[in-house]
Formats: sequence, structure tokens, C-alpha cells
Amino acid sequence: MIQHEPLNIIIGEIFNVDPATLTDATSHDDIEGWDSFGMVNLIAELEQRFGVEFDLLEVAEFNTIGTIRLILIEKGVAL
Amino acid sequence: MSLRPLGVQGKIADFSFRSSYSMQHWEQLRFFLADHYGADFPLCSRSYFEWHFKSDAQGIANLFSAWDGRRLIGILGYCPSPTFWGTTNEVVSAAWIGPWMVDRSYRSGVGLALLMAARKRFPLVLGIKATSENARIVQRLGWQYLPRVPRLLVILDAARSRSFALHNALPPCLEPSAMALASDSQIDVRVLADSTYRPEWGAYPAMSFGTVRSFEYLQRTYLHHPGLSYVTAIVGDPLRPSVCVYRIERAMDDPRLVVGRLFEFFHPDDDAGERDAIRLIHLVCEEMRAAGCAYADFVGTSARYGRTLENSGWTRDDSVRPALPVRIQPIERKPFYYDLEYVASTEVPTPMFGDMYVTRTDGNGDSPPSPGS
Repeated sequence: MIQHEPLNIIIGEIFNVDPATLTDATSHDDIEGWDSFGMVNLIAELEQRFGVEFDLLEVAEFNTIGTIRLILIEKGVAL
Repeated sequence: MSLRPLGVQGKIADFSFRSSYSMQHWEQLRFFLADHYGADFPLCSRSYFEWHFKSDAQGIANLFSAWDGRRLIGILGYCPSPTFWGTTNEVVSAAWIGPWMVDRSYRSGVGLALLMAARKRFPLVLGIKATSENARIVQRLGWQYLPRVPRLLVILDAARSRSFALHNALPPCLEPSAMALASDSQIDVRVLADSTYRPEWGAYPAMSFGTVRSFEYLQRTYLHHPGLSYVTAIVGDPLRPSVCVYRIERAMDDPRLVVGRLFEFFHPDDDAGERDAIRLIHLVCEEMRAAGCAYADFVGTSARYGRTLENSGWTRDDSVRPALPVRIQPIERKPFYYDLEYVASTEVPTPMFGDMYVTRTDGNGDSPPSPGS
């Protein structure tokens, strides 16, 4: 059984896409539903699941899965 | 190795945010507004924009902006407004926000970051007339949300109102009642002046949640409006005045439709105050009728002052499809509502909407169709 990255699983759940199709290069342009409202859902979900808070500069950078992963790692989240 | 270049505080990678806007960059902003809202958007007029966002003598306007390098990629306007919030004894620092827009290429987290900047700066942030997408976002963020601010109407010319009503018929609740709108030649009405308008706000508990209607506020919002003409009518003791602000609006595409727009209506919360207010609104209705208005409307949250208007012969229209057009520039038949949203920090209370005093001019929601440039 393939083990997907936890972040990809969360993003897959939120936007209803197969985690196997997601890579660090996947951006909001690649996923239908990752619009402004989708972004709010994503951030709320990540903050709740990982117990972190993002500041406005981090939020502004939320454009690819790779960037989000990096920000989470910098916050001490083990991914 | 970091994939993300970390820069000085306030800047990561190429993104940066500013909490005010220098009008030296007006052309860039005007292009941004025209590109996203259309060239006829009222805020594309520099004079209207400067009035709206209180650009100061140094040319600094109240607008959060997001940049990618030197490219403007997002804006969130705000109007700082001293606001009563729970008591008329003190004010909190609040801001009405809007417009809120991010460049199509940057619809990731930039818009949310702009909103976070506003929340960080003000303990109370409010908005009115949000787009459907923005309304969804603030609701998801947990803001208090009212989808439809109540609208009250009075029919001044039944035949003409019917001709502009949905299906050319007024619902029974809007048919003119037997109550005559008696004019009162004995009433002493004054226009707004510093010497005659100094309300003691303790007499106005229904104003405990809302932007302070000070002389400066009324003067700036109405008398100094760059594109619209308002009438401010005041009766009673200067320390306990009853107040009404209105204007007459003529449809651009059909001069037969003239509508009275009521923007402020408040009075001291006692018998004399309410009596003065009812006499005043009757007189104002007569003025509107004489000016050819088919009907008049008021969009406001206050349950207390809504009750006074209903006691004056006005009717609250809660129909899903408003019988009479809300917007007439041009005349619009599809439903349109003013929504209201706000978020308050934990230090201030969360009132019921009916306890708030908000009208459609809050956040400068009454805008001209296109004041020209």
C-alpha cells in the first residue's frame, strides 16, 4: 500500500483530489476549488490539525504545496 | 537549504504589504481598480477615492496594499471610524473595509493576508455590501454575518410606485395605509451646523453599537460628499436632536422614477425625542412627495429606530424579491440586498444586529453611479 505524504492527504481531502496526483510543485492553479474560499478552508484546516497559526506573510506565500510544507516545517511540524 | 528566501521584516520573497497608500502611485492604483471593477467604478475617480479613503495632506490614503516587487497585486480599503461599541460613553477604534480585491494571478493567500492585516490593526472590523465570494470567506472565518440589512419603505405615490413594482403590483403590506403623513408647519427644522448639533449620546442608547454620528462624521459623509447631494434635517434641542438625512435620487434610465433615500434616522430614546422624530419624518416625506418621489426607503439595522419609522407609516419589506427596485442606476429588477459583516476581538462585545445602528452609508456604501474623473 502506498503511503502518501500527510500534507498531500489533507489537501486531497479538502479539494477532493487524489493525493497521488499531488507533488510539491502543485499550485492553486492546478486544483479546481483552490480559490480564495478554498484557501481559507485550507488554512483553517492546517491550523487546526497542526496546532499552528500563520501570519500574513506566510499566508500570502501559500501558493504551492512545497511552500506550504516548508512553512509548516519551519513551524516545527513533523511531516 | 531554504527554498524560500527570507528577507527583512515585512517582506518575504517578493511579497510586501503596506498599511497605507501613497497617492504618488495613483495611476497604478487607478489601473488596478479599472482592470478589476471596470473603468466606470466610482473609485476610479481620484477625487472620489481621496474623499472615500480620507487621503491626508501628505497624500496618504487608508488602503492596505499587497505588492509583488513593484507590482500592485491586492488592495483592501478601510475607513477608520470612531465607534460606540456597547456604551455611548467611550469609543473603540473600528474600521469599515472595502473594496477588497486581489489580482487574478495571485489568488492564493494574498487576499486573506490583507484581511489579517486589518484585523491585526483594528479591534473591530466591519463591512457592508460584500461580494458573494467575500461573504462566503468572512463567514468561513467566523465573522458575524447578516445577509440582509432590513429595508423599510413608504409609498408616496401609489400609482407611480405600482408602475415600477414587480408585476406592476404592490404587495398588500406596502399599499399605503390609512395613516396620513401629516405635514407640520410648526416644526422648527434646522440644517446641520456645529452650533446646533451637539448630541449628548447618553440619551441615545440605540446608538450604543455603531459609528459615532458626530458633527464631523455627518459633515464629511454628507455635506462634503464629492458626488451626491444630501439634506440634513434636525429638530429639537441641540443637545438632544432628532436627525434625518436624505437625498432624492432620479433613475438615469427613466426620469419618471424618483426615489427618496433616507440614510440617517435617530432620536433620543424618550417620548419627546420620538415625537420630534415622527414629526420630522412626516415633513421629510412631504418634501419627497413634493419632489416627485414614488416611494422612499431606508436600509438600517436598528430595531429601535425601525419601530419609530413603522410608527410613522413606514413598512418593513422582508420579501425575498423586493417589490420595488433597490438600485435604480440603472433600474434593477433582480434582488439586491445590503449584507453586513463584522468581527470583533474578544475584548469587545458581540451584539445582536438589531441592537446595532448601521445604515447603508456606513463604509460609504452609498456611492454615485459614476462621478466622472
